[in-house]
Amino acid sequence: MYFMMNVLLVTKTNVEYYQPIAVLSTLIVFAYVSLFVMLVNVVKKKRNITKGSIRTATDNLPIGLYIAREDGVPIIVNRKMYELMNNIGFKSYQSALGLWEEVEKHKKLKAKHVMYAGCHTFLFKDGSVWRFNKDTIGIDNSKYIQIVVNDITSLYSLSEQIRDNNEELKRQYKSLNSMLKNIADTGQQEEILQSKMRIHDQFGRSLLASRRYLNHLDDKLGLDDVIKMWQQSVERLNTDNFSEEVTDDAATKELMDVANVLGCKMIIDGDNVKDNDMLLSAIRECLTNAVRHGKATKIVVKIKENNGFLKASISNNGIVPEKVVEGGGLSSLRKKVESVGGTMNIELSGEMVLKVVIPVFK
Amino acid sequence: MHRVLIVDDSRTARGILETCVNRSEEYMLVRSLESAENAVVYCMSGGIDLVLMDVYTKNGENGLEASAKIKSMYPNIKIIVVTSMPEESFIRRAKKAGCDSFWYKDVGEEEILDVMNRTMNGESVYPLDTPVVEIGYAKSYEFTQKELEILRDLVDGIAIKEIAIKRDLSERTVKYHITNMLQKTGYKTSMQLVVDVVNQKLIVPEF
Repeated sequence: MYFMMNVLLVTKTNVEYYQPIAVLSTLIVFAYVSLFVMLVNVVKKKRNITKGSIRTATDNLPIGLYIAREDGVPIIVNRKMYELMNNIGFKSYQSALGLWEEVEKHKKLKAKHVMYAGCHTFLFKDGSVWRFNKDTIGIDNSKYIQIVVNDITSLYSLSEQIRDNNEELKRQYKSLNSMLKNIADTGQQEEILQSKMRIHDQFGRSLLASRRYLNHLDDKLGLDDVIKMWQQSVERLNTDNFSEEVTDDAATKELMDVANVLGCKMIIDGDNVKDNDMLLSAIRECLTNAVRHGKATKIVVKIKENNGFLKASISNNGIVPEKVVEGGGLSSLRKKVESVGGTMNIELSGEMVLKVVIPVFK
Repeated sequence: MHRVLIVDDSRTARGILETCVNRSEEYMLVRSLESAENAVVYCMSGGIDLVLMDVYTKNGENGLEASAKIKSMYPNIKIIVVTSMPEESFIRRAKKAGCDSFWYKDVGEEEILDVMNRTMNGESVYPLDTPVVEIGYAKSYEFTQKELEILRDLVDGIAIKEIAIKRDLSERTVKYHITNMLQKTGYKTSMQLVVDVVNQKLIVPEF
């Protein structure tokens, strides 16, 4: 009590001395209250979504975003989108429809356009890759256009790497396949070797039988048996010469012989004619049709090779049909020729002429 | 007298078959050809009763496909397929092509005459099985049909993913079959397996 009285007394007596302190205290309290109110407002503002907050949020997105009304009028276009449109060289900033038209046409732009996974994608000079996607979204019975542009640089780079690896793998498979075919072809060589070994064995048996007969080692073995064995051995050698001479026009020449047997003379006009599977198929097809349906007695094949293509025209002197319906043989020949990038035409003017152009693979 | 057409691109093999036909009084050699497709055209001439058809002929032409064509156009012509390749599919494909009989060249010439006689008497003579070949530690008959199908795709250079699509299997199943084959044969990679399979002629690439 004494203390309080003393304070009041002192306050009263030193009013002038203590007045500035009171003002300062009031100001400090006021500042604290103002700061508190401001903080409350800031927190409140943060809890409410405003146009400004949406703008800030979309601008901070690492993707390009363009949201527009159904008629193309933009609602939100974020900073990244403006940057991308500018860098690619689009001019239609003010309409989503116009922008998408430019994306689809992709002409006269600064970035290279490619289709990646079915989407329009742009490759920038700095190596970055951006993919455009357009969707229509519906909110409360209204439709909006949404264009989103994503940075797919890493994904694209990996895809390219996989594609390169696959190409390399395919090339290696092709090379392997060719080697495997060569292995398969050695089968024929083995076959020949085995045949020769059989002939060698037969000669050996004949010699052995002759020795046994001459030395009277086998009573059951007669002279006729020995002679028969030698006849068989010699017959084998006489049937043909056993050299496996391979010529590169053997099948073509053989087909000419076959045509002769069918009563149709085949004339082949061309320099350095070699067996070509596709050409042989075409000649066979013509020969079969000409003999069977046209009763032809002559078939002429003219062959020219230039610029990596074999051009052949095959005509015959048989009955010319009014119309050619491409049945099994001709239609499968066409498929075969066209599958390797060749062409096939049939002309009916005085005589039936089949023309084929076949790429020559060396 | 039966008229015979021989189709084989090897002169030596052709020579042996020709000798065999010429020695028999029941057969007459009409012609020998190297190309299976030329044989199809030749049959138009008529007068052929029996064709001795090699499987792998001139320029890689397929004797089985040529046989199917001959059979569809001239069903009365008898066809005996002759081959030395132990390819696992040849017997099955020869039957499908409608060929009357099948003979492995390595068996010996006496047998071919027997097969020819029986075939001309209306019998269909087929070996019970394809000759057994060894692939690594495994015998060819130890492979299942599914494994052989996948092996054929590998030989043809088809990737695992594509095999799975082609055979309507999952990639995992394809890999499972390949692993099984590697375990059986003792090979470490499918490449080693493929090379041996082709080398042993169990599967001929793209044929």
